[in-house]
Amino acid sequence: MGGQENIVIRTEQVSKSFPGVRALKELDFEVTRGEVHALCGENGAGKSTLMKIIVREYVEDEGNIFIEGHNVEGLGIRGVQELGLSIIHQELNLIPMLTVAQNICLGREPVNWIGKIDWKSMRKMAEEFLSEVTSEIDVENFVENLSISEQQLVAIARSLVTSPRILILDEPTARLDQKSSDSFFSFIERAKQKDLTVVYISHRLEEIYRICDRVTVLRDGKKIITEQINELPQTELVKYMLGREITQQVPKESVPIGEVKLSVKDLFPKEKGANINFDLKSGEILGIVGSIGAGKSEVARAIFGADPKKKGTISVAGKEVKINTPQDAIREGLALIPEERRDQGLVGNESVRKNMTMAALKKKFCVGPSWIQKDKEIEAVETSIRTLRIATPGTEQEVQFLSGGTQQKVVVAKWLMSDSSIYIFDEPTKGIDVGGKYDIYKLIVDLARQGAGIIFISNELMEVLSLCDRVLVMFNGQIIKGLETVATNREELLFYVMGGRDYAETANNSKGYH
Amino acid sequence: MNKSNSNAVSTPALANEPAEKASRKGNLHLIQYGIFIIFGLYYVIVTILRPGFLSLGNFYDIFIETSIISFVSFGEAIVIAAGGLDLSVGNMAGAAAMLTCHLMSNMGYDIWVSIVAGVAIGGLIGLGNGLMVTRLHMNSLIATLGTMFVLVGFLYGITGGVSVHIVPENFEYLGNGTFLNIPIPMYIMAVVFVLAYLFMEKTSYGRNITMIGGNIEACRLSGVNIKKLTLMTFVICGFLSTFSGILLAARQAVGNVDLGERFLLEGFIAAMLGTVIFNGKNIITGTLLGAIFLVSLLNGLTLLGAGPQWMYFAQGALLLVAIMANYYSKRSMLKLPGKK
Repeated sequence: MGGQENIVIRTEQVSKSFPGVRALKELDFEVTRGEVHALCGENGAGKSTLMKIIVREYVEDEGNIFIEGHNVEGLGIRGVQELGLSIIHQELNLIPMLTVAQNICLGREPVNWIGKIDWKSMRKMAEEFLSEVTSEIDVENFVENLSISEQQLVAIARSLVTSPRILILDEPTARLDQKSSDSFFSFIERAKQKDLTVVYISHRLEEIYRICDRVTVLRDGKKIITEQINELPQTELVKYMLGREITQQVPKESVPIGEVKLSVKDLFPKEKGANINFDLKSGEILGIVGSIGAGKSEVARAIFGADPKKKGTISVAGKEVKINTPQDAIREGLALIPEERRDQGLVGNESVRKNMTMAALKKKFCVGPSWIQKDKEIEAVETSIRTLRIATPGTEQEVQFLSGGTQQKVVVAKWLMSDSSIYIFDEPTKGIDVGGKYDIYKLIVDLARQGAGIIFISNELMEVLSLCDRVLVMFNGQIIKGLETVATNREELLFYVMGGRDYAETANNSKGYH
Repeated sequence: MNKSNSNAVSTPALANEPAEKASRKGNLHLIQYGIFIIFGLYYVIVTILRPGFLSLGNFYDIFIETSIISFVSFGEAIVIAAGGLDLSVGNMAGAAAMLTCHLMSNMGYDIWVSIVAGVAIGGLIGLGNGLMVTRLHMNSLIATLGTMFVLVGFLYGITGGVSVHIVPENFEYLGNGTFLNIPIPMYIMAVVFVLAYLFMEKTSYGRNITMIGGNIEACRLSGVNIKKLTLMTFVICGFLSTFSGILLAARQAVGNVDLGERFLLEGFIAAMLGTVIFNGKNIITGTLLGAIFLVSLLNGLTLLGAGPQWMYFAQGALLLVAIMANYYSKRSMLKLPGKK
């Protein structure tokens, strides 16, 4: 390791709290010049918080941060940019209707002597920066015509405009396809030779071991270890990320598993994902795990008809069905509890009653063509509120004023009313407190006991392991592994989530290190 | 609200409302009561200055006017409920009125045949609007703006801008006649009001139209037929707009090309007020109240001797207030807890 002048980022005893959580605890972290430094940790470990503090989007509660030896206290986002820092966020901030060149040069357009934009030099400037990353994209093309993968490359090229000496990349490859990933990695290789320092947040083992020099593992807001990457076997890294075993709280029950309820064959969702095949049996809870951008939601939405699919057949109870819209899916007894419950699951300014009966209104609560029977509706909603223990002052409460867990129960109640028998839960416990989570787990187990088939998509390995019978691991749009939950553990699961291959063999080999 | 509904359910723990949210809810009520209070004060002032405001004759005037603009307002309110906007209402009304007058006065068709044709043309134009929005995925504001100008040009083109002056007496009776001392337009309004109210509040169509306006994606993922219902709102709006146009022609005993143009502003104001008055609920009743407020505002100004320029001023100001109140209450529903 080099001397003091070679340390480009240094944090000393940095702490940061948000209401209810301590996101970072007395964290020391160092990055040396010219290295590619991986930052690893489970969701919520504090990676993004740390990066946001370094780029001054957040301000720390305690501690000091030095960039190139300068204390950044009092500096703003622009101030650290001037120190040579640039960050590429998970969200792309490109303007779709402008060209690639316009996006790259946005805010720094070259102008001629009367102040008019000099299109020719702008083109040249954009080409120069883009060629650092890729040679496949035309700078005159409009961003909206590019694939997501190409857009990510453009975003990377744009971050180079400020001539940064330190680049922070937050899961850059989550959106990249194979070809773009390759050009991205060779960009990193070249950048390293030019003494560019890179902090690399990723969930992918292969990449981390391919391009990174050192790795720092965070867990629960604390630094666990910083190590040379070639001295740390993959399985060890996974162990550091997970830490001790947490006692499980989910009410696991064995439910008899029946016939195949849903069968998905050769499904290619339009957005992301390829060749998805699996069966779901009645009474079974099937987990789908994978990191952000692995394509879990895309599969769920394609099965449900919420997004179009390129091809694939879906069978319900052995019969092939055609699902092109959510209406088709609902007719076949499918239910989707979407990831963004406030944006996609509920009508916020309407009552619990109207939200609950939304999917089954015509089928169950109307006489004649469309006349609503309000008495019947209220009765059913009250029954649901009692049986699901939904914490609302009454049937007429607007759902926007309920807590997250309660809102989620209202979404589930909606599907119970429409007699669904196949439930797809997409991150149902996201942003829900512990008590609320427990209730939702119980609800899911109850549904399984009643013979429903359940797909449970989650980022939290613990809950998947303790709730599901079987788990599918997705990586880069494909199912790369299917595991029985009784025969696996968190290390193995995370290993595959991060794109690892052949856990047993890797684990055996790694024993030689110690 | 039925009190037993809210008490019948025993719950483990009540959702606690943060203070900020509660206060926003309070402000919402302030907007709603504010509208009533402001108009109440206005009535008192006008009555003190011009006691004639409270006379029976003036009430008749107010209610006949209200009846005429109520149809276009109901139509616009239904489109707005589903999250759209129809700028062509005035011209649909004008087209229907001109077609009806032309058919019966110049072509000699039976009154009822002419009226049915007028109403049908509104439904057809509405269908066109709806198809542009649902099939071609056009923004409703843009699509209906196009329709609006197409209709203006078309009407001037085929009529040369010439009004139809002589209309059959039976037709005029529709606008000016009375039955049991109550003007005919009020009967029509009463019937349409009840039907529109039942449609919006008691049927699954009306329920789902309102739900779409609240969150279109949640509705789509719950299997609500968005396209069909959105199309329906535009057809209903076109259909109802013609009532306003035809009745106004009957009342004036003249069919002229620009007869419907006032309905865009008036219908829009009444519908916007109607959406705010009960916080997005029960919009048909709200819109009727909105129409009464609007007409009585203008009526009061006339009694006070204000010129037409001040009428425009007042309508513009009222529209701004209604849109602001609407925006504010919408914002309070969109700003959901914990949203990034």
